Amino acid sequence: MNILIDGKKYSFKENETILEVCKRNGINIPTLCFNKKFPPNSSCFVCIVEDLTSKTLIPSCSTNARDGMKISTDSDTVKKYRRMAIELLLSEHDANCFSPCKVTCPAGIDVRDYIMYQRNSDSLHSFLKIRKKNPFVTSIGRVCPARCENDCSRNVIDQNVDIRLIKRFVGDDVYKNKKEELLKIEKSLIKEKNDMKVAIIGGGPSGLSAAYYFLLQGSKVEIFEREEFLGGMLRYSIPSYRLPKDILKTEIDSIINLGVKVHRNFNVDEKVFKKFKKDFDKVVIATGTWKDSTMRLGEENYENSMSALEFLKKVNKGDVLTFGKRVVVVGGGNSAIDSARTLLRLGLDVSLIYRRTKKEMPALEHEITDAINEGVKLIELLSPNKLIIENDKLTGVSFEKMVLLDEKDQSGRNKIKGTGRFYNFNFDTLIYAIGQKKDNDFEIKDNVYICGDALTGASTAIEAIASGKKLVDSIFNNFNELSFCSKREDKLLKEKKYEKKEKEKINLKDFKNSNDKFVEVEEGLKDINFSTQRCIDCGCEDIDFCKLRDYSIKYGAKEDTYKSKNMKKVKYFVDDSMKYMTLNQSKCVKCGTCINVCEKEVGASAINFINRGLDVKVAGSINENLKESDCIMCGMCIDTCPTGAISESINDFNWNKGKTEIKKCDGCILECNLELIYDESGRVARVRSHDTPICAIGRWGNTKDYKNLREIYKGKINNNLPSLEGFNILELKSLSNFSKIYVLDDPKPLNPRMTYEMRKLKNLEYVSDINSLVLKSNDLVILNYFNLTSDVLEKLKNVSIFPFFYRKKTRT
Amino acid sequence: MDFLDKKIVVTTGTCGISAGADTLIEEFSKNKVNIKKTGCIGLCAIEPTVFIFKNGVTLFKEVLKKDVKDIIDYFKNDILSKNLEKKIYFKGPFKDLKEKVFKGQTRLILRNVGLIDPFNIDDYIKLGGYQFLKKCINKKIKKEDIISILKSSGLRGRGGAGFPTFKKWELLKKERSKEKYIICNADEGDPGAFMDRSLLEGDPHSVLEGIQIASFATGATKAFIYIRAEYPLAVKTIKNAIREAKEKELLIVNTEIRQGAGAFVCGEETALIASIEGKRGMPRKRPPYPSASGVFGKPTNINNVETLAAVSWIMQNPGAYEKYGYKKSLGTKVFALAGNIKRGGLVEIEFGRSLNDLIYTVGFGIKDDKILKAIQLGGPSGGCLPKAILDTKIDYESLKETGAIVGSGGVVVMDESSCMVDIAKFFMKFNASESCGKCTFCRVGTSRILEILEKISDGFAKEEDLEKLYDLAKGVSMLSLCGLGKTSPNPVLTTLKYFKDEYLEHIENKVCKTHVCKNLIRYSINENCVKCLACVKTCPVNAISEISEKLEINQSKCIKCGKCFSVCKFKAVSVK
Repeated sequence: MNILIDGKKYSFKENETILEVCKRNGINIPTLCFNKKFPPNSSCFVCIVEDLTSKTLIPSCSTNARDGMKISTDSDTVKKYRRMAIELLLSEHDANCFSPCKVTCPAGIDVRDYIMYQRNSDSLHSFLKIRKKNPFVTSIGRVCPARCENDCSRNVIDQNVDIRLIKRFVGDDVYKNKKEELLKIEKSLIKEKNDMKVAIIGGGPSGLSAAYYFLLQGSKVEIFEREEFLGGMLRYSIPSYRLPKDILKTEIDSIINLGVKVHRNFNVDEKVFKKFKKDFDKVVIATGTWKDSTMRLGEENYENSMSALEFLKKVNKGDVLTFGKRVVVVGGGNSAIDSARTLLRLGLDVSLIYRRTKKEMPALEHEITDAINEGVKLIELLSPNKLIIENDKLTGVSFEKMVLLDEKDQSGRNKIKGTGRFYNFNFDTLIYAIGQKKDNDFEIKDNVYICGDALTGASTAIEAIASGKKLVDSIFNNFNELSFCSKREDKLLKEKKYEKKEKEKINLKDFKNSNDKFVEVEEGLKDINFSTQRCIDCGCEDIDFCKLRDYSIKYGAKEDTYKSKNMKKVKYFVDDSMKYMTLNQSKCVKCGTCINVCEKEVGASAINFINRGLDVKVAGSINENLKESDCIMCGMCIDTCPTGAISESINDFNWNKGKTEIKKCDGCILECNLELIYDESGRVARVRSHDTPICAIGRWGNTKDYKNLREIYKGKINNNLPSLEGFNILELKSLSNFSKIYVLDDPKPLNPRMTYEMRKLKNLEYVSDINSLVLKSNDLVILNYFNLTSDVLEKLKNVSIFPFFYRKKTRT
Repeated sequence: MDFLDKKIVVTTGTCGISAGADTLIEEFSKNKVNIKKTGCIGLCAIEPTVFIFKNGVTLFKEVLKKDVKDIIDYFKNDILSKNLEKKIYFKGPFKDLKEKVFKGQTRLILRNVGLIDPFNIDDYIKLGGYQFLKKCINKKIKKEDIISILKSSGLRGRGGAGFPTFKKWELLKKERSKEKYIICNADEGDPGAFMDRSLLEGDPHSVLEGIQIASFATGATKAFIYIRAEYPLAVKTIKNAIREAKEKELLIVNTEIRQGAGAFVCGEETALIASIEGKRGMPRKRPPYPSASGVFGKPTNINNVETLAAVSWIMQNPGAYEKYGYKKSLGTKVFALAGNIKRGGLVEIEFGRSLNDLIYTVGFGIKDDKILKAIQLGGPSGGCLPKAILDTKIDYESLKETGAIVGSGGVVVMDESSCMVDIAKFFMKFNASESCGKCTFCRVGTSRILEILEKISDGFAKEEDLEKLYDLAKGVSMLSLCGLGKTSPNPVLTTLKYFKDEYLEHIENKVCKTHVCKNLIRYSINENCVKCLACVKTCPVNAISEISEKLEINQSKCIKCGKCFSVCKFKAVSVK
């Protein structure tokens, strides 16, 4: 018998479904509600294929192959309706794939994960986690605008987690204590050498970032830097009271030492550029934005007037400058603030003049506050109008008074309008911080690429770094994990009660009392554990196990196709009544596989569907709550769940699936096979079943944090129960050889595998009283470990026994 | 019908009781007058009704407690009070009743309903009931012969799908199993359909006899009646019927009642089976069909109440049933007429009559003589058909072509004041909330369809939403396991097919011509106003006030209830 699938002929056996034929022949068909151990549910309709004869769509999981059938598994209709099914599921998928910090971060750093590692005092893996997305750990931990902190879920509870400062701590700790280890690990991360030779013009954050990731890919990288030192804006624009030069150097060295060839004081002109194009496989322009914008009043022509960038560069180089006494800084961005605060440290009287108000300033809020606290005079709502020239010398600027309008501009800030009233300001020196531009125009063509500020215009360091990585990712076709990201309001926060713990107060050093006027102003975290423990681990733990996400990416499904104002939303419901498991309704796709597993494999029937229509949900079969159901916490439902709806309530492991290993459980004599999944640091992150069902002891007892659970059971066995030495304890394999098998007491074993095996037995009898039995030598007694007493044991001397753990009855 | 002679009959179906029939009965017994209680005769719109079988028939409509004395007076002394005279719906010889009150009908299945006492097995026996069953019990007829009578009768499943009944029976008969089951599906859930309830309440023995005949012919060992718990009277009647039949040794198999908790989907056979087994009522994929693996995995046959009632008639009158009907749809079908129709209630007609016939002859036409706009046929998962195609003949095949279905037989008649988007919304709301939640498309899709419809009627839909709506509706109908899911978008698909202009009007012009969609209308007061202030008094939200010597409606307050519009005697409230 033959069937035609996608134009190819395949033979099939009787009663074989289309899905089975496809699987056997390596044709990939997505499934959500299908579990090969059970009869098909056919409810998700993701596995549909097209019957080309009747032009109908059929679920492949439950349709038997028929002779002469013509099937298409990837026609446009199939794709369209698969996408529709997924989009419908997404429309009720009220959950976040990632934590907001990761989504907001321009570089997409796995914030939650690195905080988790640091919480476990593993700064090295925390560091490596950051380096996956951003090679500047400690520098970014100092200068990042940290938009992640604005979006932090913890803001709903009390205050954001100190994400930036944790990063800074991690970086400092590794550079101080684990530098060699880091180098060793990172060198091992470098992929096999490829033939690609890369020239990077510009050694700033984006250039170095590109260099780092090119290097990891196995390319040969050379950086050409115009200045004496690497670091670009980080080195020459950010004052050292914010980012000390030695710290920056350590960080840059950690990148360079991996094998980047650096050419300092190397200016690339058109001629050299042309040569590069020939000599290198890839040429990357990462030259930043070093040309200043002006106020367009002609101020650039006077000696006592200077752009912020020029000024900061000179200071950072260590040039000696003369300013007179009074300096006016015009602008409201970070460069303006940096300049103003630097000038203060040089002992000058500084006025910062901005045409809007403090609220509209693009500079970081805490920087502005710090600047004012340090003594910068902020003057709002003045727009430069005309230079005041006396004897060919610039002595002041005439400013027009502005008013704020209610109307908003494109950036979302309030618009301003001139009032026609003018004020004159006199000064000795003028610093203007109006904006920056690219200062070259190399042609981006063929093997020439561009990244960082040179591409995007003046931006933040983290955005430049992200741009450098993105360039490498696009060259090596690396998958962007954020290409699908379910992002919804996190209602859980509002419903769950968290203890309020405000973040640590950070001390600022007063430069006025210090010998070194440019001493680092911000002190780091004092209690790192307090800060890391404040993170509430939001986002979905099952990213790597989520089929819904995989298929959403594969079929280009969008989560808001069916979104509308009047959308009916199902009441958010999270059941965390079981200690180690969480049932989150908003992620459930109602595939019903958990119900099947629980009923048919585990034998507990603890969960089932309740309600009708959109309100359908999986819930404990008694009182909705898992704790009050017959749940034995074996977690087999977690393994079968195609999304993260049923998950482990532990968050202390990595999102990403690492190495796996099959290992025999040593929890009891059944010795079930366990699939251990390790995270990057080598910890057992989670345990899944391999070929047979496993129990709570096998699942949770093997992860580091759940040892205690296992100890409890072990302790009980060792201390309170009689020794079984000398008894004929048999292996599970030989169960079928007995003439009669008695099962004592509660027929609901804690171990699902036992139920599973027991179901196959015909000569099985449930008994409640052992004394009434006449036991023969060829009998087997399966009994509860906890119920063993010495007189029971006496009775069992001559037969085979099989002791294991039952669930203790909690319900009355 | 001699047992009716010289009797006062009060119809006490659920419809009669809810209209006050029980108070009448109380009143009669206070006056020590014996009356006969029957089921619903199908004149639900004029309940409670009282019949007097004396010198022909007199039928009183909408009888009140105070009329009882007059009726007794009339019954005993032939004195007709003026008040009572107004309440006469029909008066004349018995045979005229058929022609006038039941004009255009062929009452085979409903033959006894409303005429016999459902709690008295003798009434049913007097009319020829259980005679055929006795033949079966005494083995005077072969199983094959029963099935061949059924085959030639052309009876098809009356639950909706229209599968030939004899084939189902044959399949079960062939199965070799120690246990086989017959299920009578009385889980009638369509809003507006109540033929099964009326049958069970009015003539339970005809259904019970059908069940027993089916059990005999197929060799079933047990029968279940799956009935919704929301039909307490029907449960009571059928329970009593089983008891009576058992006493008279008229049961071939043990017949048990299983009450459903009122899930619409449990009318679907695989879900019904799951429910009987004590599981959650959720359909499963077929095959295996119930005939091979049904209740507890045993061969099972499921027939609808009406089908089984038809069986007992067919067996009483072999060779007669096939004389009625049209093409492949033989016999008769019971319809429940509702909506803007003069004679709402239960009717039974022969297949092959046109829809126009059903509405204008059998249903006496449209209420208030308005113009017909459309009819919804086949319950919430049926279809909306426009006036233009109402010469379509009523049979399974012709109706399917139009996009509607015979279904269980619910007919909702709509006049020109109905908005089709609103109608689609109404039925989708029902379907969305009754989805069992198994299939993605039915569970989520139906709700999303409803939301798009709401968007349209609220006036913020775009044209692309119409495409989305159609695609989604198609998806739901293709990709659902059971009949409920597959047919649930029918109200949308048929209204889109026949009334697309109306959808476009809502979307493009933001206009609902029928003024049903509240977000698209606007009431205002025009120059006809004489300031009688009737509207001001009636407005529930105080949205009308006098502004610069004119009455004006505050639009932000107005809830568009339309009360001002109906209270105004001067046509001074206009609606746009």
